[in-house]
Amino acid sequence: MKRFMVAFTLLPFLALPARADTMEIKVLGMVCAFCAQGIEKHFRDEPAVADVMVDLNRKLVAVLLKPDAKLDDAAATRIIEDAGYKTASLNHTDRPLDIIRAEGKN
Amino acid sequence: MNEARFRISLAAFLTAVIVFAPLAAQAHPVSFKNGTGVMFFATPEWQDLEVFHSFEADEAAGLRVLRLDGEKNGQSLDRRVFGAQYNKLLKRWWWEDAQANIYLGGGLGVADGKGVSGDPVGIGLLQADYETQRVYSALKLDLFESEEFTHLNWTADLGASPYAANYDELAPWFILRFSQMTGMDDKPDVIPTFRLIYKQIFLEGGVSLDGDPRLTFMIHF
Repeated sequence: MKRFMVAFTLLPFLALPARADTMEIKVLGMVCAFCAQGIEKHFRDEPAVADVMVDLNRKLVAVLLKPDAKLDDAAATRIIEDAGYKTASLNHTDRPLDIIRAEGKN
Repeated sequence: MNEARFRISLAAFLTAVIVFAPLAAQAHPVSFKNGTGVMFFATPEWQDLEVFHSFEADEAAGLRVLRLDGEKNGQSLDRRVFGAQYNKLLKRWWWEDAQANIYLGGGLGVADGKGVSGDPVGIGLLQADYETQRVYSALKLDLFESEEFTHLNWTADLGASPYAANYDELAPWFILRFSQMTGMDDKPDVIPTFRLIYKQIFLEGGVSLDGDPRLTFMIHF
């Protein structure tokens, strides 16, 4: 009975929407919007990608993945390379792009 | 080359432009994989139209039309070059806040104009550049060589932007350009130039100290 109660209590939490799955990628040499178009274009072509943000000032590309969609790190790194750039670091966070955008305007 | 052959060459060239153009292009010698770019440059005396497709991040191929309509040694110089060109990004350096590149290109074309119609033309390109969000410098050599003429367009740019424009902001640039088209210009031009970049659109205008205007438009797809 106790186990049943615990499971029943946790059930609503399991039904909550998944947290944002965001790739935050630091890119070397990203200094020009004209040249960085390929980064946005190629990420938006990926079915797993919901949204993309490029920030030249922070040399940051943030990629929001669709719920339950996957884009592995190697594929993301290859997209950066196909755009002519080099990845300095790649981290997975649960931060929405709005928060990351707002940080760049401060 | 007789007129019929020239017309066939021109038709083939225009067909290729039509095929390539919708793919989107890059106007730098090489842009990003599967990127296409269109570039148009014009002065009163010469114009250059280029359509290039990057099939890799470091390789591109495209087509171009160069038209010269000026005077040299008191004689009218009206000629065109229709060419196909391959460009290679030889080396790129990445830093946290800067990038530098060396490009090499080469191609073949055919000339049209008085005394040169049908002549094969060799095309060569060498470009080196360095840029940050606030500073830009570039050296470009663009060669057109045939039995009857040699035109080397060399350009040296030094530029600065008043602020570090972000990805979705308008980026203005003030550039001091030194340029000469040998075989047509007797001396180098000094050209104060203003450039605007907004995402994939690039617009540049300048007037030489001799009063000659020039315009460049590029777009990426």
